[in-house]
Amino acid sequence: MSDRILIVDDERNVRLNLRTALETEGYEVVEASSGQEGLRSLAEHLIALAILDIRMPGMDGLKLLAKMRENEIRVPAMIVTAHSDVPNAVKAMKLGAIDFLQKPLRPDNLRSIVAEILKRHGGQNELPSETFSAHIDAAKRCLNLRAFGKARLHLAKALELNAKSAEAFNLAGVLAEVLEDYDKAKKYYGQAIKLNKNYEPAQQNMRRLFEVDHFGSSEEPVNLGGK
Amino acid sequence: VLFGAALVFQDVTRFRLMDEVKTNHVSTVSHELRIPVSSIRMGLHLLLEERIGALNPKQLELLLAARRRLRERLLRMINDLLDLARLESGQTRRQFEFYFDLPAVNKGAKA
Repeated sequence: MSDRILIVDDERNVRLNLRTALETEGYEVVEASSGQEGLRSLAEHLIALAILDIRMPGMDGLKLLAKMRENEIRVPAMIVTAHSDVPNAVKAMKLGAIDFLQKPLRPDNLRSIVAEILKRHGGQNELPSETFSAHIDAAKRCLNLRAFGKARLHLAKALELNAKSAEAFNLAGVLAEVLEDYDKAKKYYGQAIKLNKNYEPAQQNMRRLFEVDHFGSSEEPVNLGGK
Repeated sequence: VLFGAALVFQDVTRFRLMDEVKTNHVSTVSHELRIPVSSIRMGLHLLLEERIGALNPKQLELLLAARRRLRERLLRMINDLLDLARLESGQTRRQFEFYFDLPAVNKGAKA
């Protein structure tokens, strides 16, 4: 059976585009035009992933996400936003949405990020293997499930296996941001850049924090790396 | 000989307010324009990748031309408008790119 994906967006054209991009990849798609409708769809269908627009009239993407978590709906969520502002990004990350897709969207970007999230959550009942990439995947999954302590343990194990991984330090920075420890986040992103100065995800995350410090906001989305 | 001075006070509050309204309007219009334009762009991508059906050469030519016009003119114009709105509201953050070369900074600090 193909994975069923829920799209929550108030713009009909956006929903049509997302649906077309995902259906051509073989996914089943359910649409909702508002947060309330999205909640109903989550109750009626078995959903593998929810794609949420952050700005919607009434119940917006963040409110819907908060409601999902309040109702113990543990479906992973991806946030689509025209401009990723950090306060919203941090709120979303705390609610377990660490994957952001910025408009304008491209079908291939959308498909690759969707495939990665579904892969991350597909094997969660299997015994975790002790490889570096298994711990990185598990850390991301734990971030989605808001198991921040476990995410930290997986990152520590990943770093035991590869102490020079820019990706692991970048992810540790994201975790620190979720926990609102921005100094630590900068330290980890800095460490990732020190290990690989051309590592774009850490550059982007550092740029975002720098812009927020100096200009009050940023358009850079959170970058988990590894895509 | 007569000496004198004339002081003219003019209340410009209205003009300042109008200017503010204009700036907000430019920003709102650009954002509102960008939403359908982004949507059209993704629609074009979906048609051009031909996964929902093959295009004949004429259709392909028309869609490619539409995409070019969109990219070259409309999107640039919208981005210019957004930049203008940001400049006027004092949010000039995207004037330059930051690149953090921490190893080089550390090396420089040690030297």
